[in-house]
Amino acid sequence: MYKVRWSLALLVGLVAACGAPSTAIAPSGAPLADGAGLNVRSIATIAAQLLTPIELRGLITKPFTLVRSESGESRARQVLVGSNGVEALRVESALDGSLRLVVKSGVALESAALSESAAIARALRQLMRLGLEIPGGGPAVRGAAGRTLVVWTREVRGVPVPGDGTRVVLNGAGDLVGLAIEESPLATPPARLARGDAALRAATALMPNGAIVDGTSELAWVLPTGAAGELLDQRTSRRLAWCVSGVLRDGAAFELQLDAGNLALLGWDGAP
Amino acid sequence: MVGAVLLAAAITLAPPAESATVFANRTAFAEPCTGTINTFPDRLAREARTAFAALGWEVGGAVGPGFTRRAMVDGADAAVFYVHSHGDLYWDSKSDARVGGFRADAGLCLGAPIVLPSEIAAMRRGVPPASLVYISSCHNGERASRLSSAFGIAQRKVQGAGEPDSFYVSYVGTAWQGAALRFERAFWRGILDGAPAGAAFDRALLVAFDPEHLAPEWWGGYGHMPHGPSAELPDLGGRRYV
Repeated sequence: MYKVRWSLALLVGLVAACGAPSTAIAPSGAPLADGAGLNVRSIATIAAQLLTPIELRGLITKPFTLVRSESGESRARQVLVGSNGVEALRVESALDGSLRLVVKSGVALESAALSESAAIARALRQLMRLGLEIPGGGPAVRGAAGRTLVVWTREVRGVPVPGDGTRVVLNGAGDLVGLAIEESPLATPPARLARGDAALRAATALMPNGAIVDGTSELAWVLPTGAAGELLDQRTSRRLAWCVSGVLRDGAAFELQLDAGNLALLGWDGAP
Repeated sequence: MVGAVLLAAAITLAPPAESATVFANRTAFAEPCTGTINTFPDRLAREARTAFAALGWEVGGAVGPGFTRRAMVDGADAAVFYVHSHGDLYWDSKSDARVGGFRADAGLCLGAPIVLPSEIAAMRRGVPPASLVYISSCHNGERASRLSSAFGIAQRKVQGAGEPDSFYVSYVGTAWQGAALRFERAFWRGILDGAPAGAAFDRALLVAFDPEHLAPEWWGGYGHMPHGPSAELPDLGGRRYV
């Protein structure tokens, strides 16, 4: 009940703050909505760090809004739009002030491709520029549609949390397209873990005739399928699961996610 | 007689169908075929249908066994098109090459009919390039796939001057449904927020999909806004000039 009251008070405060006039674009270290109990970084400050004076010219602040992220987290969203109404910069912060998302629109397409080491160096530079924590471990670097994704996957107790962590997207010249930081809540792990070979047997029993289960199972923190990809009303905790992959009779790949304790089916994923 | 000829000419020269179609293969991913309940095709199709309708398009198509090869080819002249199914660089004996394409549903676990780019191109002959095409399948984001050109969209990315009024999205290599749902959902949200298609794509790259499970690709005009003919312009209420 205390949490509900606190959330309502926060919401009322936030709505009141939303009604106030938006701020002009000028670098400022002032918190955005301190009076509403929020202390998020102003988009003006971030814009001044990321955009050139020419890019800043003519930008318009929209009143900030309270939104839910794709992962169900409550966030304060701030947006800058050009005079043509097209969004130029979006910033989202968790309600504790942590920066969660920065995304620029219209970042130039560059034909050059970054080397892996150059991409990591540019991504680290962008994180430091915004005063963000440098994630531990080595990131994965992937190309997609002329952009480069540098991804540090979060790990908890040595087990990956797929989709969580820090992601930086760059263009071919190494300029920032956007960055995102995700940290999902995790359910309490089972007191007793089932063995990996028991997970393989359970997966084999679930699959139809002709399917082939790979000989390995791996632990991961997963979202139950019912919650994966849905717009969530509230944050759903990830659960520790044994992930078992294989191929169906037609050659299509699949992955089963089984509760790491009781091996109940948590989720299914397939590749068309 | 002259009237009939003029009418026929008018029909031939008519503007593109102001419609959208959404097809999704449900059967091949359903419990009898995979052993587990899989709601991804319905959810993916629902996201696309909702987005197209909100953009001002009239939406047709089918999810499940009604997604036949015939129904799909008949609907291929739509201005806006979405399909979720198995895709591959299927062999086209007419062109003696691997050309891309996807399977219909047709109520079959295995061996459902394949829709080839050449069939779509034939159906679209004389029709202007599509506004938005989303092929949610494996492999049709690869250069070897001829699907984008079947819809009149060249395999190039254009930003700024000379942008085509078209946008094509698909995936390179194997595309997993869980990752696709996250990416597509974010893409549609971006479009509905008023972002141009290229910016919505960039934004979707930032959601929590596993890049080892999905490699999205696009071609067309970065700044293209795939609104339907009757759509209203975005409301910029609350803006403040500085």
